[in-house]
Amino acid sequence: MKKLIKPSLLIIGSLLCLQASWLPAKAWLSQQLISYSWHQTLALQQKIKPWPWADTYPIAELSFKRLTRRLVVLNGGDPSTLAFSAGAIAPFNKVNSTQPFVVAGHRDSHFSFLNEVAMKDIISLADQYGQSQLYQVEAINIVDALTGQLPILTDDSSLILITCYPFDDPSSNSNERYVITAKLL
Amino acid sequence: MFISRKNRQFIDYQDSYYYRQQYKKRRNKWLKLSLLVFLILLSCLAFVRFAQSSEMALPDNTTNNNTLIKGPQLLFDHPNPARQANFPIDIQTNVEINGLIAYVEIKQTFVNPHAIALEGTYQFPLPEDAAIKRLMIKVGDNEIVGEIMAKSTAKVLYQQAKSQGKKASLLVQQQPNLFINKIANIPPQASVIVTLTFMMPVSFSQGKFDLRLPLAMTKRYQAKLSQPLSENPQVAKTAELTEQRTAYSANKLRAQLHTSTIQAPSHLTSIANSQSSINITLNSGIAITAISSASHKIVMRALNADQNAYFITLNQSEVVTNKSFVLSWQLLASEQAKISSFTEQVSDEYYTLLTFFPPKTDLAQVIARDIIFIIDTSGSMQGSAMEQAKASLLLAILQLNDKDSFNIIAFNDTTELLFAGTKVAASHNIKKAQQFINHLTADGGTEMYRPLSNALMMKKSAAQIAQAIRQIVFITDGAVANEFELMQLLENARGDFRLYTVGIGAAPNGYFMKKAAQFGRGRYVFIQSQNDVQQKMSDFMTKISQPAITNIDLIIDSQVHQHLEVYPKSIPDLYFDEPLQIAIKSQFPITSLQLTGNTVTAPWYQELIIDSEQSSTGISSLWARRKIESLLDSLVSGADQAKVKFQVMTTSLKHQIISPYTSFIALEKQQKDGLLLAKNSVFQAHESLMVAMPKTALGWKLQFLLGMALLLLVTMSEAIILRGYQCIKLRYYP
Repeated sequence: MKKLIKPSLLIIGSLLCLQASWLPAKAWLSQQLISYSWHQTLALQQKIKPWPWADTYPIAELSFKRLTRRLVVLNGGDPSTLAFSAGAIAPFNKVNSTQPFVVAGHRDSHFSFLNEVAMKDIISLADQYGQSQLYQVEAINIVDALTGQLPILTDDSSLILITCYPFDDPSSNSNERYVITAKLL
Repeated sequence: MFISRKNRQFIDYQDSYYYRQQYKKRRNKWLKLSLLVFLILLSCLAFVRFAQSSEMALPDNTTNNNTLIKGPQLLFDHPNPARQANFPIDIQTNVEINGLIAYVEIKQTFVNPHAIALEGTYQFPLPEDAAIKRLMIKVGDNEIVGEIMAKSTAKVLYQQAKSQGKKASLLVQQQPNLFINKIANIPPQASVIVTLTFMMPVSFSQGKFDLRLPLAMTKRYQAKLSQPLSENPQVAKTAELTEQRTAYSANKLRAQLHTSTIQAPSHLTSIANSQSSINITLNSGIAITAISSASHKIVMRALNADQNAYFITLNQSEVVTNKSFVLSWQLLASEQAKISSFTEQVSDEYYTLLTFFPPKTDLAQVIARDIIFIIDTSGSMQGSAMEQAKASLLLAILQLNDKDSFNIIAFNDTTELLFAGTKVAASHNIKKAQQFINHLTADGGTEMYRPLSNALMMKKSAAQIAQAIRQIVFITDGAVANEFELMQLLENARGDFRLYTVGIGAAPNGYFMKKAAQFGRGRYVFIQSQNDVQQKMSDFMTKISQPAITNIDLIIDSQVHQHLEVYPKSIPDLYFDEPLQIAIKSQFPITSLQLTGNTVTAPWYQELIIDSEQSSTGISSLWARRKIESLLDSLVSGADQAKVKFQVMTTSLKHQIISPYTSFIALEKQQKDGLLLAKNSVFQAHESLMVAMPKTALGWKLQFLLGMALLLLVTMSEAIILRGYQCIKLRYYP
């Protein structure tokens, strides 16, 4: 009896661990495919899906100069897209327009480094033609997300990054969002 | 090796006492163990649930700390945060309601109660769908005038102000459509008069009209102000003087407005205890009853004997509290669709607005329909969105009646059809459909073009009558890349069909949904959560099953009126419980027109005589708004971009209606020798759009921690047990 409790607990524990680590592993793995398809996109000037059955495609690349970090942004803000990378939310998913560009990402995978972003940081956003625009972080806000809606100024060409807050909260539910607003330089 | 089990069974020791005991024991052991595992699993589950639910319940209180913005405010740049918010001491509101649009002019007076000059931020919570027309802020001799300008002009002015070191900034708030404008240098005890003019729609549902004005004026301010003022006569005097001065310079404005406390500022008590005046001219165009206000006591006076025009003011004894002003009135129920008309003359052009009110709902008759549901099963629909979509579709199928025929198309990157063509909604077909829906899963890409063209071309069921309307109900989150291609498909599609869109999920592509429904002459509905499905979907299905009048056509004498501009360009159907507005611009006043269409039972015809004598404010603005919308839509069907931009800009500037190519800019001017000179400080006002924030946490850490904790527990307990055993051993068997 006692002998059986131990292995079963061990099995359950390791299964939980494995299942949990599958999520960040998937996020990391898909990044490799996505960055490959992004390079293809740049070279061929076409929308290229990272894997044939994908529902989305890379549309832009964010790079954080000071943090030496790069991230390819996918199109769409739905859960299945966000599982693979940060996603640009429609209708604010057009690079180089007079409208803002809004990107959301998971606080415990792709956007986990957002808490290191400081005021006045420079962020560059490259579109599929390789042209990049520079943005400077102008505001960092923590907003209430109970309503699930964020008002965005439509005639302002800014870059807005959204992730859950607080960063070190281990759960999957959060009613607060960390919103970084960067002005076009 | 070759001994089979059968052979073994011949050895009959099972009846022996020993075997039975053993068997019993073994069975008990397994039972206990499986129970234990089950219990552990259950507790794990419960723990996870508990951890999540406690997480969700926590942050409720923290959010309500924000200062509530229910009405106009002036936020002073005061070091003490508790003294920043400031409410108007007086509000005068003039409203003109014509049918379903309200033209509102609100004049608010603020006072800087502090002893120092301060910078302030004026805030006004614009009602939903309101459009700002004009803004005027008066601070002493300075005047800030807000107007709609071409974006390029605005930018130059904005840059100029910026380069001269004058900051023009804005605030982002957790409030939809909050209008914000900065005011620099407000002298101590000076008054600030803000006049804001905007247009807003009157909401209409189930024969009831509602108008809600965000006028909230709290008493808090008055209590604070009246004390220091009465204690300090010096301050009181300056305040009085300022009041008089502003009253003088605002003479012209005041002439238009109703009586107010500003006109007689000699008694401070009158300022402190001032109250709003609200004057409403209500022209409904059709007979109405039951005018009432749930928030304030009102007095009204009929302007004619037709029960369609009233003048409404506040009851004198009414003290305004911190409530929005709500006015509601009721449509006099009728068995016929009613049409009201309003005309406005601007220079030598005439603008006519026709508003159709549907007849009583209980007269609704069900029509025969040939209905095709298209459901999006692409990867972006994964999770709750798919569940909502399936629930909505199942509900919709059940609401079909025996006159209807239907089909379902499910698509991701491939297309799957329930039937080859449409089939009658008989119970065996519905059963098949339910099975089909239950088996749908979300995966793969989004290829919307094929299912849509499929639905447009699909053959009608042979059992269906010829008059049956082809309806397409499109259930999707609208995550598409080729919006324009799809719109073009709809635009160029021939044949009599209606397209309805059902937006699913927290963040559907609202623009696509609305536009697709508009191009398909249908309606749209958004379903945001599982709780919405039942109510919203059944309402929607009921609504689209009962169009009151279809194929509406306008006939206006083409000999007289050669240059007519009618918006919307293709007139949608009239549904029960939803009015319809048509705006027309003409060179000459339209005195009569004819309308044709179809009701369920018979053709419908009506002749309308329009009284164009009385000019109603706001009609031209509404027309301009519709025109801009229509022009922007024409980009979809390949109109020349530069040409459209030019047309939108001229319309926008002429009618002072904001558009993507213009912005609302407030320019500060200073009075010098009776002349207003533009100062180079510019404040920009913005329009905002709500965007849904997705869930941005995977939550893998919690699960990982839980697993680790379990592993740790096992190893730890082993160590503890071992040590305990050793202790015991040591004690008893030294």
